[in-house]
Amino acid sequence: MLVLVTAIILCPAPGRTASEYRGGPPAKKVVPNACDGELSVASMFADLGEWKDAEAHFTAATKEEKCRQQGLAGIKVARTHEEAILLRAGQIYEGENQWSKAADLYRAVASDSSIGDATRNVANERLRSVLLAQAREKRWSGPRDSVSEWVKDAFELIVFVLSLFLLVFTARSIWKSRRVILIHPFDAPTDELAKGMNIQMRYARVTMNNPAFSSAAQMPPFLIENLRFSDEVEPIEDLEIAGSKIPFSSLGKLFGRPRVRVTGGFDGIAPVGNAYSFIQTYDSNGDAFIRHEIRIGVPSEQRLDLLNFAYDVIVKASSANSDV
Amino acid sequence: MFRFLGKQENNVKRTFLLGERSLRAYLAGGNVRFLKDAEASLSVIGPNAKQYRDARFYLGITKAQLRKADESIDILKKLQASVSSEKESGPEIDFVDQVSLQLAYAHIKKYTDDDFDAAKNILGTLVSSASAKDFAELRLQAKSLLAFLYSVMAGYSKRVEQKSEFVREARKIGEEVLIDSQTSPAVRFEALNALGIAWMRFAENSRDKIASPEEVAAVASQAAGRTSTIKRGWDGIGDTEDGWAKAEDYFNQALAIVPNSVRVLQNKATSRRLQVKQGVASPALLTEAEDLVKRSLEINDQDQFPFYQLALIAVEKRDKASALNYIHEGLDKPGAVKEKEWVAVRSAAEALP
Repeated sequence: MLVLVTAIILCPAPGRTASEYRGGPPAKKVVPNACDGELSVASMFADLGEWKDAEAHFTAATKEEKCRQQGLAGIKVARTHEEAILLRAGQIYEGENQWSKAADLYRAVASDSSIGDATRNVANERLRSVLLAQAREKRWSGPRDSVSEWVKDAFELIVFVLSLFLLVFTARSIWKSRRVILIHPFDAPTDELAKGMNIQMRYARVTMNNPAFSSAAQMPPFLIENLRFSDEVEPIEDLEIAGSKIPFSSLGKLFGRPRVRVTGGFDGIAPVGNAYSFIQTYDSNGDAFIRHEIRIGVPSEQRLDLLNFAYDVIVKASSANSDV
Repeated sequence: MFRFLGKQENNVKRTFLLGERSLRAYLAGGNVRFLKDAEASLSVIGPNAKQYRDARFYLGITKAQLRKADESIDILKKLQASVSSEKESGPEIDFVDQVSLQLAYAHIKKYTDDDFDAAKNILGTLVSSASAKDFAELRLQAKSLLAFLYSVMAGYSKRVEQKSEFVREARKIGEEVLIDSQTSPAVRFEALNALGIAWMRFAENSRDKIASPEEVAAVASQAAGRTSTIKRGWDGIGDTEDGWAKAEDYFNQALAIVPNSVRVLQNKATSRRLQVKQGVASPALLTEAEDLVKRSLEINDQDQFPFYQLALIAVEKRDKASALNYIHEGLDKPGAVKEKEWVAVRSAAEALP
């Protein structure tokens, strides 16, 4: 409080004019000197409250002997005003509880060697009290801050866990894709033939996975159901999270080379067409080429021949690599 | 050294997988060529291989399907002895019980009374132990296979005087399976098929032989007294004439579970052929039988059996050319119809004018 009172005493009232700081009555009008002009301009700036500019002109006036005293007195007054303005700004920040800004300002004033000791001491005192006030406020608003900190920490933890999960998922998917048997769509001269071929391929794949209820089965279905066949792994899929597509399939293509790749085609030439397939393994050890003649003309015969071809392809592809 | 051993192990595994997948392709599509591939691959898996147990199991199944029932029984019996102590925890049927079911099925496929008895013993033991353990799935599977066994015995057993008893047993056990709430669709399908066969055998065997047109007329005039045409020992099961319809009904119910099942389609065809052969239906039914077999051919035409059936139907129709054609075509297909059966149908076809 004492410090504040001191600051206010030091701080001149805005209404006071520059004439007060000229160090006595105005000089007799003699031959005008350059320094008189400077003093006059400085006074005008001082009247306007432009203390920086006033100080600059007072400084210029001190270059001549005859104006030096007046100039120095003017500089002192100008600086006193500037420092008072700084302290007042600090008071305004304090009044608004903007402790950080007030502390910054006082810190700057206290460390500025061009500012007078008295003002720097006041700034130091104010800085101390501002820091105390800041600490007090922090203590009072503690629980609110700790809740928001907790939420922030929890959010960061969730993001971390999610990233970890995605990383593991991606690695697992890529690892799985390296064991997958990839059957590419078969080619044919017409869409209809290609479609027919690919449908038989899918049908053969499904019935081989669960042959118990196949129409062609020659055994009681439950005896087939009891057999515990091992199945192939599913191909890698894209995963969509919150509307953004994670490019797992692209990663899979980059790092997840399938263990077995199946391509092929069907010429569909009547009366006996040819269906063929290349089975490529990652180490070429289980590579195979399959070719079947397909009866064209009678739809049921064509369908059966394509289906038998499809079974053959899947048998060879799924046993091409012993570790699939 | 390690690389060599690793490579050898991979080769064994690959051979095993080829056999296993070939068997699956056969089960799914019915093409006997895959069965032969499975046999070739699974036979070479040695006792030191990790997959030996499963390979022998699949080989036993494969041999039974190839009508090499003796070999199948030998493999499955040895396997049964070696795994008799293996009990697994879990809801699935123990491996040793699975082997027993397959062994019983292989015995049935031999069509001899001794093997029928062996199958009956195995299945009876399974039913008892499953009932004692309150294991419904195994109990119902064994019972439906038992119903199938009795229905086959009603057709193929040499103990002619007991055939009516076999039909009764097949009916009793099959119907018990059907009314059990825990019966799965797969087990239900087998029970329905067995009941269809049992009624077909009842209709085929329970009727007294009618030697002359006069007797036929007498039978027709005794419409109200159908029971008088039933053979001694067969009474109490049902009406002979209704037998065919009941068989048809059960086959249709089975087809509702597995539409176009070649086994059932071919059984329906046999039922029609027998009706004509017995003189209880018009020869037009032979065309229906032929259509049913041809429908089964649309599902799988890589098996000798439907061609053999078509040859039999053609002989009934007295169509020599077609019969010989089917025989020729059938012999060209993979399959397991016995040589003596081909010889018999060929002789019958060649005897036609």
